[in-house]
Amino acid sequence: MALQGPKSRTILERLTDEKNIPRKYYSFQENVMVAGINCLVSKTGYTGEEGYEFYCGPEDAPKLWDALMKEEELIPCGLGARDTLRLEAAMPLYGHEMDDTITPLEAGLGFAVKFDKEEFIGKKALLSKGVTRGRVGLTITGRGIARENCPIYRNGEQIGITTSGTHCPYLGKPVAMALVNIEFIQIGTQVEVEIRGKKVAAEVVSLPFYKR
Amino acid sequence: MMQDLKFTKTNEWVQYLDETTVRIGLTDYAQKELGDLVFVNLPEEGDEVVAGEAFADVESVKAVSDVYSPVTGTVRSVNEELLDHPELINSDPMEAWFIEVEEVRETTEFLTEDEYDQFISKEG
Repeated sequence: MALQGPKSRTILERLTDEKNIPRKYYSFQENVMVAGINCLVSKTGYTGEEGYEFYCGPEDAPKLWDALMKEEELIPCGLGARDTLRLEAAMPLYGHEMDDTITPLEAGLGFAVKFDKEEFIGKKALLSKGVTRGRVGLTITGRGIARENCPIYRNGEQIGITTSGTHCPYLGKPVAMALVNIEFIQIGTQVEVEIRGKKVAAEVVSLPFYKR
Repeated sequence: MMQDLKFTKTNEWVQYLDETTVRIGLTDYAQKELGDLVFVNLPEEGDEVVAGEAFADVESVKAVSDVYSPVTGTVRSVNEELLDHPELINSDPMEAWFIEVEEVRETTEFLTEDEYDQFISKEG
């Protein structure tokens, strides 16, 4: 269960001792009591905002939910809203920006690949494959909302495919993430996205779409 | 005017402007079910629409949905204001018509307002 948003820390301080709250992004604390429930609390999330995630026993989950929902500022958020937030923050999601055919270098996750290590599974494959495509952001400048798996064209030739797309509430316009051939990743590149049979103008822009 | 208003099971409303001309829009129930609309795709003047087939689509942040034509005929007018302001469909669905169709030859099954209200109460 995730508690996310600018007030998440203030709210969490009401439900647990302040010393139980992890301070560093991507760190966690085990066996801490949140509203009387034993949890692992991590300072993580997939929304692009400050926030925390709770891991507890399945039998405790409804109790934790009820305890959180007693805090008046909180509103429940489903996966659709979460996916919009992670897309605005340009966070790659497995099955979309990443899968077993996309290398971490293509997905823009080079920071997590340590080539100075002597050996790791996939090192040889990564080095021999090279990087032929890259993850980019697109804003749709024509009419239409690109979703995932829309082909991308430049001068009539397919150069890539969208991996996620939606209407971006923060920018008030449609955006997408895409994998395109490496020669077309420059910011400002004009492309066309095929949305349900129609080619619509789009532009390569820098990621993320939203940064807190 | 209101007695000329019909509804479909696919949640469109149809208003007869004369015997063979209609105005088509999306019902209040449909716009509520879809949520905030952020994009609408409309046909063009002169296009043919076919009863029971999609003629437009509307998109919320989450998903795209087809809008089905209740009639067969020729598009004589398109409410292009919706292209820039799809939110009008949410704020006033009965005013936010999509298209006007002339030379109406065929229709799908129509419901009266009462029948439609009953239909959606079962759906919900």
